[in-house]
Amino acid sequence: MTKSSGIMNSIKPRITEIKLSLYLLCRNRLTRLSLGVVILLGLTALAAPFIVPHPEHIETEANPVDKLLPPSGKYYFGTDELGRDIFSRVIYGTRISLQTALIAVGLALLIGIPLGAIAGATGGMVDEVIMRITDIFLSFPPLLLAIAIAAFLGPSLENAMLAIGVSWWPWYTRLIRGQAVSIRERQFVKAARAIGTPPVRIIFGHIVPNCIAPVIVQASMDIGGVILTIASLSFLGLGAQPPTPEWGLMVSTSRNYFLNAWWYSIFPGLAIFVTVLVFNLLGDGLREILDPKTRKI
Amino acid sequence: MGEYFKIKELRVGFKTFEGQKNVLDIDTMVLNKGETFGIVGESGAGKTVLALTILRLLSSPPSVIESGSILFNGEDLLQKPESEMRKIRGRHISMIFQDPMSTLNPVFTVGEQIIRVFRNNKRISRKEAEKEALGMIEMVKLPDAKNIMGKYPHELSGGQRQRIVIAIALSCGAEFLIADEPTRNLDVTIQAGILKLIAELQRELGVTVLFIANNLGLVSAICKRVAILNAGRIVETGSVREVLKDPRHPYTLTLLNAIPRNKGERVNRVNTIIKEERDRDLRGCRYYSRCMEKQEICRDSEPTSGLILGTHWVACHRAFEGGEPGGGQHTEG
Amino acid sequence: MADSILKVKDLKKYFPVRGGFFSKPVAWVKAVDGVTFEMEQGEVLGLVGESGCGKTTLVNVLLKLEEPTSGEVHFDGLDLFNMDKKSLRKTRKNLQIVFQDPFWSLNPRLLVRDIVGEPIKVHANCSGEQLVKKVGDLLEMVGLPRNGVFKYPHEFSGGERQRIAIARALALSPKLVVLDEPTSSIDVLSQAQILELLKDLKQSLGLTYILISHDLSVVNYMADRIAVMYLGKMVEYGPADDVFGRTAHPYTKALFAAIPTLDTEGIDSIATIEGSVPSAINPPSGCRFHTRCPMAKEICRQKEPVMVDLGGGHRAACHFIGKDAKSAC
Repeated sequence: MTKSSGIMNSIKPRITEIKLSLYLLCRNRLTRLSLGVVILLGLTALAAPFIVPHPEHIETEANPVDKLLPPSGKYYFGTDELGRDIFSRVIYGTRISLQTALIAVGLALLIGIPLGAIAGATGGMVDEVIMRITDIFLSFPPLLLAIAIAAFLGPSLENAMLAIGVSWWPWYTRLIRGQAVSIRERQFVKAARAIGTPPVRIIFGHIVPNCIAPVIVQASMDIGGVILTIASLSFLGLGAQPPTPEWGLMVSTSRNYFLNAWWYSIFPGLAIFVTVLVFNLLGDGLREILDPKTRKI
Repeated sequence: MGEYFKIKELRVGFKTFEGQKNVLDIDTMVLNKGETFGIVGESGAGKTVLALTILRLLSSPPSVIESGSILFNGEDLLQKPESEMRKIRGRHISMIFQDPMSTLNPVFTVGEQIIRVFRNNKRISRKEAEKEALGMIEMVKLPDAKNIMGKYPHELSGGQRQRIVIAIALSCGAEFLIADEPTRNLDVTIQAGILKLIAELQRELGVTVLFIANNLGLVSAICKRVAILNAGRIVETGSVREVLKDPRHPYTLTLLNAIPRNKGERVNRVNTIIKEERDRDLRGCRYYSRCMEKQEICRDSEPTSGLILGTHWVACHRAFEGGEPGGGQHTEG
Repeated sequence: MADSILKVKDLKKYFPVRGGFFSKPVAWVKAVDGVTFEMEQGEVLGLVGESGCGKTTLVNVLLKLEEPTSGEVHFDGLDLFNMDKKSLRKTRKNLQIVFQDPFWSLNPRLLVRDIVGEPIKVHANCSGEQLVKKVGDLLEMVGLPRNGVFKYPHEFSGGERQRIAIARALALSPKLVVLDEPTSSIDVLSQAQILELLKDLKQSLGLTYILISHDLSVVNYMADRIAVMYLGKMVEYGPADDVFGRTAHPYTKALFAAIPTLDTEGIDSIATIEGSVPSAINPPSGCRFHTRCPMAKEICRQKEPVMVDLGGGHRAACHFIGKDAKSAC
């Protein structure tokens, strides 16, 4: 057996798993639709700089000649108070929203998963300390906490991400910990202990992979929530700063023109709505296939 | 013969992402009123699928009932609308599942659960329902019934829980009881008690029991007639005595040899070839890849059921060959 | 005389039942209450009893998955309970277990390569092609096809999963393997095949087994020596032929009578013991079996029976051994 065939062999069953998951995921029409939209959003985000009709309107300054024009053949979603193409800015905003949401959720997962797993798998004093700290964080509403942290760090998109990440991890910690406590009692963990597997390996090799499913579901739903929170922070002036084409910021500026330029707030708002919706739907679909009970083909 | 319950040409398939697979293929199966009929086969043979099909509890998708009929008191269960099935379940046909813990609701006391069943099915006051529930618990021979009423499922032992499940199954006067490996995962001592209980109830109430098991020993203890199921097909059927005395199908023999004998005797060497899924896709016999007696004909054509003697039927090409068919050779070694 | 590989002396394991404001222990569950036995290299000890009798706790303590309350265990000449971490890790190589439920004893998210290969990875430096080859060899040894290496546990049936668990236990060529109800959650056919396999492996690899089961017929098939446990105590112990041929304790008799066999004609020939195992928090006074024993007398309620030697290493703890032949049946 050559080296490459060995690698292929170990990848093949994983591919079959992915295929099976996709098959199950696509069985539900709504999930199929949301998966499609999420993929579309991802592609849009990646290709944004190349596909927008007016790339110059993303960052640069005014174009006062065309200010506050309604949707037309030239500007599909109309223009804003500085004469910039809203369509281009909304498309580019996908990139910013997805990027910030992924980083913020990723940060929260990075803190939350190890802490939760260690707490659940170890028990005793360690568990007690980690979970009480978590409780302190959980006793603030996450949005308020994020606002406080963002205000403390100073308004910028990076700080907003950090603020969200820091205010979000306790939810994952609690989720993972609950799972880990039940997984810890499973026989395969006992078996690993009987073999003499070191504790770190037991936590990250056996316990974490088995409690990750609900976290994936939660995270995919949270991406929607985080996009909303970033938009809220930006709306309050604590997130993205002009001229960044962030959806929340755009909605925030559009307030002043709402009565005579409906398109200005509607389109970025719609973008937020659709994105949050599809991530929630996807999360629902994932829950269905990751739940071992419904998973049985 | 009064045909109380009859399955005719039942075919059930499962949709998987590799295509549709047949899991149940039963030509005929008849139960007489008041008898205990055993279904034996290893896991994956389709025993539970059969039970769930009868009650129409099989989730669809992935399962598909391709054809056939299940006649119960002359009416085809497969043709009934869901609303009528709901009336049949519990009141006429009831089921005991393998795992009593997941059958019982952990947040209600067992008494409450039995009372609910009564109140859902009969127009009686709570007082009366309580009295009847107490009677049911006494019927399944649990001592100190009053005390048991107030207990939660997790406070009871496995055997006590299974007794409660039986009480619930019979509380609406079901006349047909499907017991799906009711003693699996129970200790042998507890198992013996549950078997006795089922036999006694069957005798006292005259219910018909379809007893599903993977162990021929259990079935021989409480059933009069038995059918051996392999990969969704009945390979041998007859009275327990006929099948045990003169097993004709190689699969039946393997099952027989698998039972550890009591008191000093050693287990017979069993056929250790592991089951292969592809047997289902063959045109021929579904025991082909594991069979020690196979011939070319077994691969290409499906054996039909033939009568041996009395009520003893076997579906095997080799069963009717020459003078001394089946049997003999296998039991030694 | 063969070397004794395992010596267990007066082993106890109590679990606290906590209550009150400061969660002080208010009572003790005496899961294992003074168990003593010895095993020789290459023999099979069958450990029998109903669920709740302390079998599993005994094993957990023997494997150091739980700390004992008191007692001594010598494995292979080493004191298992006074051992530094390093030598404990080494000892684990020689002391393996196959769990009851093959559906939960294999990590569902790992490939068979990583499940069976884990002990090899932990104890020996081995990876890549070499690991795949070793795991393949192990699978072949337990009668599974080599290509199973790159599959997930859920692609196998119950019996096949139990084979995988056996392969994992044998990966480090241990001296003693504990089989914790290895066949109680699979069907009879797979059970017979697994027992067959275990027997062959024992012969070819020179293994020593502790076989735990509630089913005496399974133990009968495998064991050279049998220990019957009831509520944390050993009630009968001895060579298999003696325990089967000259059953002394009424509890052991009841266990035998409960097994339905093909010779069973009708339900009435199966005997049951009434009731279930009492709680181990406040075990019955005197003989712990007296609440369910068909021949219990006043003395059983008051005095705890001691182990009586019946010759040939056959021991049992019952007041009526050899005294009252009439009621002994």
